[in-house]
Amino acid sequence: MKNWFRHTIYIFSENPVSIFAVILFLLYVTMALVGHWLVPYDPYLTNTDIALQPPSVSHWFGTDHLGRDVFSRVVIATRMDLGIAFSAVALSALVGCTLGSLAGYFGGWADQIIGRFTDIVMAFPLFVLAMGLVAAMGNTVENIIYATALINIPFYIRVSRSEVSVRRNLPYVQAALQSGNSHFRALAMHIFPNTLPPLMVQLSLNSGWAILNAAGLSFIGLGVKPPEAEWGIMVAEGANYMISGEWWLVLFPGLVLMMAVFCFNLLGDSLRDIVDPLRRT
Amino acid sequence: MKNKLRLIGQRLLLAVPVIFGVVVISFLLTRALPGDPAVYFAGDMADEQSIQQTREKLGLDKSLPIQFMAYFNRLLEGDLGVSLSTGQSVLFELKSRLPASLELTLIGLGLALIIAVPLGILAAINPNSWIDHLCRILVTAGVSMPIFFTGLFLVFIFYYLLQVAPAPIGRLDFLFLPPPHVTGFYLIDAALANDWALFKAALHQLMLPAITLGIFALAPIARMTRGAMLVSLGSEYVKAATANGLPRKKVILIYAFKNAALPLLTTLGMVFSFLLGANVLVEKVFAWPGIGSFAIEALVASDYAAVQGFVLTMAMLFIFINLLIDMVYTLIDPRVGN
Amino acid sequence: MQARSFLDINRLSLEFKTRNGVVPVLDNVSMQLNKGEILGVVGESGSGKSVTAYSILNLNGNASTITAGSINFDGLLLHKPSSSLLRDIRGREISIIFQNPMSTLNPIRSVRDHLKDMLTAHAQSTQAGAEKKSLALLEQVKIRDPERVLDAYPYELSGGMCQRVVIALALACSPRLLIADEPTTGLDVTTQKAIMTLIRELALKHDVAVMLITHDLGMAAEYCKNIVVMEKGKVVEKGSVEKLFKAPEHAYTKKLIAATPTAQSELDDLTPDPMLIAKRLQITDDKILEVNNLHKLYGVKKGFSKKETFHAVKGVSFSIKRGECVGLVGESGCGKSTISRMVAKLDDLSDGHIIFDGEDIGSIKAKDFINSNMRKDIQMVFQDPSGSLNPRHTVFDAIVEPLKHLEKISDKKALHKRVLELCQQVDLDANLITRLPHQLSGGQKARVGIARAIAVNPKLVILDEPTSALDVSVQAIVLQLLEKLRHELGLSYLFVSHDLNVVRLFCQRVLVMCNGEIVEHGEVNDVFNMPTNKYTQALLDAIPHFSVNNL
Repeated sequence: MKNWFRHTIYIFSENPVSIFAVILFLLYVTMALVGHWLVPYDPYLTNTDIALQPPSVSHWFGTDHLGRDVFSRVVIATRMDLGIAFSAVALSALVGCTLGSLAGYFGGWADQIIGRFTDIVMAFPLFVLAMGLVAAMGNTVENIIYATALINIPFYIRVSRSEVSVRRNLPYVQAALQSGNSHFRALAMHIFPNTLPPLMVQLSLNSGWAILNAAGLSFIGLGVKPPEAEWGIMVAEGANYMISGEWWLVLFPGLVLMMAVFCFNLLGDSLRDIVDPLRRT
Repeated sequence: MKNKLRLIGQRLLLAVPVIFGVVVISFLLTRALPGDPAVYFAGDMADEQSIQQTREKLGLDKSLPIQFMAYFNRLLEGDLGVSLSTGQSVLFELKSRLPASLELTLIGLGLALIIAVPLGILAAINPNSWIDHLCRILVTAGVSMPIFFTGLFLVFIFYYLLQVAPAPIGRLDFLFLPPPHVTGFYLIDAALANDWALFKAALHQLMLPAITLGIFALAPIARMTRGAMLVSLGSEYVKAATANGLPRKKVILIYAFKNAALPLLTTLGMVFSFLLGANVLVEKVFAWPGIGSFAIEALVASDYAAVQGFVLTMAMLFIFINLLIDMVYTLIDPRVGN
Repeated sequence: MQARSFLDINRLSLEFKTRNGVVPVLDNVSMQLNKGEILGVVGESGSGKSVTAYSILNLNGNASTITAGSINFDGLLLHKPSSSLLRDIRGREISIIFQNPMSTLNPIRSVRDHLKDMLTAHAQSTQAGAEKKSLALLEQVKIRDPERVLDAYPYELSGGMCQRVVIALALACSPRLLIADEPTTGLDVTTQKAIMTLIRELALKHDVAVMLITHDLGMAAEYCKNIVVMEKGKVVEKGSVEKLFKAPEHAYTKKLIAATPTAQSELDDLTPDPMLIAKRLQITDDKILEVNNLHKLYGVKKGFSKKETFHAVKGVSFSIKRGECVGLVGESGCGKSTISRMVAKLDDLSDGHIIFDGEDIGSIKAKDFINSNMRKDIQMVFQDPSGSLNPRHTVFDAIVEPLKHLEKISDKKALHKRVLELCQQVDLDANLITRLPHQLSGGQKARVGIARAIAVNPKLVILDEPTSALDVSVQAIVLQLLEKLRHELGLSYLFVSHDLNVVRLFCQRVLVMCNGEIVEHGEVNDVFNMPTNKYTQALLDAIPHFSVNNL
């Protein structure tokens, strides 16, 4: 365990940009976990008297059209957005990697069926499919998670399938079989751990994309329902006011959203390096 | 060549089960999921009796496979149903709105390609230079920016603050009438009609939304170009070409770039997937009367036939684009088909 | 005063800028090449021989810096070249051919395009005249149907054919110096000879000086007049072939000469102090393995539904006695690896019998064999040391795998003790057991593979080209180690290889394979001294023949 910790520190110290990404990531996670208790105002409390006030000392991000404090809402929206993203990615990675690994290793009809399924899902422009799914199932937070998970599964199937099939014929896998491992053991314990580095990058990029997806759905009214706070829906609600000059309703949620996705994109490479045995010295 | 044509034929055949799967999913989207579609199709004011009538009329009381056969037959006749909100056939609505979306998407993609491909190439041949860093920053920022945010931001800066862009109210300002319909693309139709004032007006309105889509598409294209170029520049055959004394321009463009263009081509498929989805968001921000905004209106009005038609159309469009890309790839890569 | 040589590399020092700092790669390297001469630059991996050659044409990349010395090519200074000088020199005055011909050619450009690019770049011909000139160039490299090859793409050509095209490109503009960087590694033995003969012939005919970079001392001795020996970035010795072999001065040269297997060398000759073998194994007639009429068919999908069958192994029969080492030789694609996999029960046979220690194991499916108690009796040592070890497993993890699964040992102390025992047996430093594969040298990785294979006390070990990726001095030690283990543990070996000299000194009997069939078999000395089959004869002829006595 101590080795892992030291190795992690080494990886991050090599690249200063990654330190920035980690700090940002920890900040977001903290906001998601304890944000609700730390915000200055009640995010749902409306007060039309102070509606549409620009940023000031008392309201750092200003107030929205219903008089709610934008800063408080942006902070608590973190839990919603990160929660949706992580749940969706975890679900799709679990299902996708299992299916993809089995398809890549055993081939045959399993590979054919899984391949056809992947082709069909990927035949849809992904956001459009998400729209259709959420529209059909109804917009609840669970459905957004399921829809986002479903459209992401093909990526994991493809990545793990290709990584597994490349390694399947390598001598060390043959050696593992010769040493008494069954095919399942060889796949799970020998091949799969070696596919983790590229997978890590995918997980990280995907998390960023899942957040954008959820926000996009909210923007067109298919996501989280008001008065819930979520970055996308805040931008949607503030869009009308942007054109008449009240820029703070859109800018702050949009910026915070962007920084979250940015942070995940930067983190991908570092996560891969932590997991990659070739980077250990 | 014969082999390649045979391979193209095979790819087309392989697309058939995929198309079928897509049709099945579009069908299932509204029928097999919770909720009673008859209630929605019957409308708000319906009572129990008219709901039942609607159910029978639409065949919703029959079993699922029979419903599917009916749906499939209607599709073959080109019947996508009737839109609840407009009263027109869904097919008509989609057909008349498609050019608006396509014009926007193609111009946005064109802008992205013109900037992203040279940027990616320059970044790859000058590693760690300022242009390489610029490319990497643009790429990382570009994939992080929510497109609706970019659009709104551009509107705020260029319309509200600087007042150089027009209001985001659609394809043309109120003062102008659309050109006589030839293709549905306002720029082409205006040029054909020799109406250059109209051409300018349409272009004016197109600017911001096209730039928004362009910025969105720029990031993945630049990233892929840079990546593919780095791979070819590091290859043995480029080293050999350099060692053989071939001029640098030829090595970069013909030996490195032409080889990098192949994976780039397959990336374009992915980019299209993102673009078709992003289209919906951009159309909302700019009030663009394309199929995206049609879908949004349909969703709000619970217009199920319209939503279903939209999803199916987008999928078909995407399958078609991918087949096209696949065909081009098969034709230009000499290794394929032998 | 000594006449100035054609190519004069004088005290060249070079370093590379890497992530971990500056690494010196060449130290005070000097060598001379005269007009029309073929010079051999010989060294093992890491010797700096390729870097030296690349520095002549400035191909080492921007991370490299020449810190001292000079390169003088007929009056032109090449160690600090301007880009216009490089443009003039590259491909026109000095050409270079690389190791792997398939990857040296652009996969999406035809041979015609390659030649046209070359000819027009150096203004050797107009667009119109290029075709005629290209055909002439292809004929020059002995390509029999130049019209067909002209329109072909690299993937349609064999390795040898691709290399001929590369040579044609290199000689297209009549250079005065040709650098050949391991031009035959990766090609079949018979093709190797053809290519080297072609290079020598063309060099003589067109008065082109050749610098031949190789790790194969035998090849350098056969084709070169003078040899330069390099080790770890330095030149350790240079001289004519006669002088080097009859009176080598440097210890490394002696080590290299000893380790290079010839037609006369014995296993003990390969290293200065060979390993002592305690007890000598007596081979009886008792057979450990009997293979009868073995067949393997592969179904290859061609197109949508067509399925072609590829008959990889066609009715092969042989046997191995207990304690014996049998060699299986052939060129790539002959089916020897397929046979080794079937005997190792990693692949199923299509027809025939495999009888191991009296039991018919051929009928057991490969995936069921794991449960058989004979799984531990047959183990394999794999070819590629890098691919044969799981990158995430330490040396300890790799060696305990069979102990955990086949001998069902779970006690940590017992496992640890056994691993240390094995490390000692294969001469592997015990401190290395916590290392990961990428932190080990080629020889160390090979030992781990061997330790893993003998961990469960097998009866038959299949050695699938275990030393072909190793440096020749490391190969010498590994071969002696394997021999020692055979005697000490009473192992039987099936030794798969393409290197005839190694098979001769390592095995008792040999099987020669061609196209899925065994064309000749017998005691090694019989087969190699008096071959009866034409193919065997061709293989033997292709090995570089050099003997100190013939010089």
